[in-house]
Amino acid sequence: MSANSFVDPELLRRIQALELQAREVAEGVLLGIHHAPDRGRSIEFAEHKEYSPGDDLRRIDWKVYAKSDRLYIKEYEDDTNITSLVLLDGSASMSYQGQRAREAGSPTKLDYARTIAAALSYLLLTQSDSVGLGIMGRGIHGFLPPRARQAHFHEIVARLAELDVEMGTDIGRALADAASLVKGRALIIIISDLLDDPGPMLKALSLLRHRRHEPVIFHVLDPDEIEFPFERLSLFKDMEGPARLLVEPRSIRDEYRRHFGRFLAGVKDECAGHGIDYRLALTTEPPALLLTSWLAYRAAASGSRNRR
Amino acid sequence: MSGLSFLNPWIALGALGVAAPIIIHFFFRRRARDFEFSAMRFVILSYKKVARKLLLQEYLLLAARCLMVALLALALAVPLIKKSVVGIKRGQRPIAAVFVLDSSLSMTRAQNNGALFDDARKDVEDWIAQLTENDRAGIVDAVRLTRTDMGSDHKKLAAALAAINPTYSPARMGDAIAMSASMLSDLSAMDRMVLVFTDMQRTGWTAPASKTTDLPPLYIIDMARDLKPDNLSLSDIAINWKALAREEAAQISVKVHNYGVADARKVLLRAEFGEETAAQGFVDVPAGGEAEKAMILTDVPSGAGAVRLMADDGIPGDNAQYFSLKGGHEVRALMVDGDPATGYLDAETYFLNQALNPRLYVRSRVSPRTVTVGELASVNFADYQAVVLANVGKLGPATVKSIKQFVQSGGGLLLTLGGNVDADLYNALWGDLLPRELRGVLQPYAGAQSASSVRVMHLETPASGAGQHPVLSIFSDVSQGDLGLAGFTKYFVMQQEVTPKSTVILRLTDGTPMMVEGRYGKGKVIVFASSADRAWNDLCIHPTYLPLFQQAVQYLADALMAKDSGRIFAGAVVELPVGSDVAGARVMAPDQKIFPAELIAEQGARRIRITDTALPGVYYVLLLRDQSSAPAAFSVSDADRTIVLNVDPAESDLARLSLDEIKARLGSGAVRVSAPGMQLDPDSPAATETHSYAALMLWALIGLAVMERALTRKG
Repeated sequence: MSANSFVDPELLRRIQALELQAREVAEGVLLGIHHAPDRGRSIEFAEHKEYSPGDDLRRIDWKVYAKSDRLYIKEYEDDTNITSLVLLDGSASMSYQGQRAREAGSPTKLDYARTIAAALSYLLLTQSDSVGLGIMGRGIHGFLPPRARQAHFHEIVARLAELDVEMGTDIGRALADAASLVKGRALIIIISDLLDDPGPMLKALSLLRHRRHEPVIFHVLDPDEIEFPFERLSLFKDMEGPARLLVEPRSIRDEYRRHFGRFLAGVKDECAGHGIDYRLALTTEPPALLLTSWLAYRAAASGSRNRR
Repeated sequence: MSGLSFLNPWIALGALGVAAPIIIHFFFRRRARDFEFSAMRFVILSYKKVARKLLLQEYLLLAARCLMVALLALALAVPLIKKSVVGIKRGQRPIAAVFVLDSSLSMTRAQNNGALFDDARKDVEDWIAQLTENDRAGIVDAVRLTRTDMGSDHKKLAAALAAINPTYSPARMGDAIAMSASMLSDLSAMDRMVLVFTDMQRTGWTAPASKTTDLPPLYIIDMARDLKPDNLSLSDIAINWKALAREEAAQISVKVHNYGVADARKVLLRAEFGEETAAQGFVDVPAGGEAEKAMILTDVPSGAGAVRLMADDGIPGDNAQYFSLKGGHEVRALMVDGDPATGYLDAETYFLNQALNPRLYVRSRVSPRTVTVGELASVNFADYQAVVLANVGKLGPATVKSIKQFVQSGGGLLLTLGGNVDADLYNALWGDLLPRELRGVLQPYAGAQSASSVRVMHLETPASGAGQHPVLSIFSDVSQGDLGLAGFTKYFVMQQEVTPKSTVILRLTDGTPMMVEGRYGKGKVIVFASSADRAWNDLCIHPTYLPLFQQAVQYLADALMAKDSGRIFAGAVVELPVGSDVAGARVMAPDQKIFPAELIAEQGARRIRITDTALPGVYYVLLLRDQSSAPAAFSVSDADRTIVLNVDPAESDLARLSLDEIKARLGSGAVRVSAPGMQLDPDSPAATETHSYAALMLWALIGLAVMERALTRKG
């Protein structure tokens, strides 16, 4: 696969139209569209605030005092940049592509994840944010530290292109490794099917949150994994292990859906509990649509916070 | 004792097919596709949850399929389970038993090495042998309704039993059972029972003429319970005259019924006269259906015939339908015109001549020649079969003698009267040749005796039926016209008979004889009491004139075509009206046995009654004018009448009655159905009731199929 195939110009154009506004304040110094909540160190006036004892006297706006005989201090907005780390699941299960997805021309989960990763990287770099990349397997490998230069995009895309799946995965350990690789707060974008032991994985997510990172999860799934629509007697083989099972799919469909639904609900609830942004990404859904809706959601969420 | 047997035991081997689902299940499982899947953890988790249930379903499915194969094979093999429930326990009291033997035609069906009837008779023999001298037994023939006295003499009972033979008639089971109940009515101090040995054919189970209230315990020994219906039969034979281009023909049609369970293909039907095959053809008859076959007989022969169904079926006795035919022949008739005229319409014989030989319209078998009285002297009467004297007055003694000799030797004479005839002269001239003496001419008046008030009399429309005179049988076909439309204004009145010796063929509506037949020697004489032309009546301008005189002349010449397709069934009592001159009759049965018929005279009418009609076929009747002249034997050609008897088609239908239906028909009492071989003492080899479980198995099979479908959908 060529690197360019992950970079859908149309997708990027649409994504560029939106601003990525982090929910949480990121530290950084680059001027741009990411506004830091720490007022006072920037030259760009934000608003007036009535003086209260303890405020910096240097910030009192004397002109306003002259006109209104009341003390106000000036507040300034200061633009910052954000550090992001995109973590892509490189386990074998990510190469699954269901029958319906194949017939609809939808990609494998891995290709879908690569597209999202590349698009997000481009967007972040365009906004002068620094972006890093890590591939999740039994740990983190192929790690590219976060950088803010445009040329870095090509490295990321090249790394994504040469990515090959590996048997076995340990998302919990990979997330823990990732937490130690990033200094300071970071937007950690996890793109994975999360088909791993949920206990360590959720524990690692809570660790990220504890370290004041902002994890975002794009949960990439094929529709067949949710609906289990198979009819014929099948010998199911595990993509990441030696397990095999001969079974009439119809006989376990209801049970499968119940278990899988419980798994999805558990992940979603856990993320919500830790304030982790969670998006379910079906491979049959256009990536542009997914990112657009997600960015719109983030912009709205950020706006409401600023208004408060 | 109980046991399982199969009607089709070889099919039961198909039950070994239960191995098939097992082999398929374990060795030829459906080919599964290999499938790499990502969320395997959830597949395994789900499977663990339902594995036990799935395994159970799988084995249930396997069991259902095995059972279905086994049930199908067993159902097709028709399992029969015999239960030893019908031994009759001998109590303290002696036994009074009546054995009712079904001797109907359906009991002649073959089973094993003999007929059902033979098996039944053997069973009754066995039963009689079990009775002690304190017991009483009687035997009833369910067809003839004959009975023995209740007794304990085994030899007498055996002799009575041996005298019963199968018949060609249906049983009258209701009456036979009622008769049995009456035989036992005085023996209430004994253990009473009625044992009916029958094939349970529906036809024979008629309700009794009167309900029996005191019906002893009834045991029906079903002789045909394991027999499949396999009978072909003939019925509804019909004969129609057909006019072909150059000859007359008889079309014989017959219905072929198939009361079996398999289609009958290319069944050969053969119309026979004696040993000769007159016509034959093939017919296909579907199972449970019927077909009609018609055959044409040209050059219509005379005599008895039969249509035979050449097939090897259950009841051979109903494979023939009998009929009799009498083909006509050319008749040379001499017509003597007693009142010749120059205008042909005024000639006495003009209308007769047109009627007897209507060349322009239809072919006639009568060739008339007309002469005058003066020309009679040169006539050789031996050249003719019939002579018509039309309004002929006085004749010379030599001519009269010649005519009398002609009639005496077998010729036919038709006398039509008119103005030239004088009653006294005629009576004197012809004497005992006349069927009845002439009394004089009558011209009826309505009231005052004036010419304007002449009363027009009409003929009585003849009734059709068995007693119809052969001359009039043609008028059963309404297209021949209505004799009653002709008007009579003048006619001779004939002498009333004290001792009837003539037969009235036609009467006026007031009862006056208009056409009378008499016998003279071997010949026949018919007197038509009015004129043959328009002088005294207008019959000659009615369409009925032609067939009436054609038939009369052919009858006199013994050339009338006749047919009898046997609408009377064998076993029926047959009564035939006969002339008042008949003093007795002899009957020749199809087996050549000759026996007398009973003569019955009631209210001036005579008829003969024939009761010994057990055999189907043609019966020949010789009428005797003098009882003392009864011959020990006679030939078919001498017979005056033929009677054709056929088998009652209802007896060919082998549909059976269920026990519940029998109970409903009998009205009351304990009724049990048993198999042959039932014993009096339950300790001896017990008789059994056999039940078929094929239907039950088929229902179970359907239930299993539904279950299998449900399990397959789930799995």
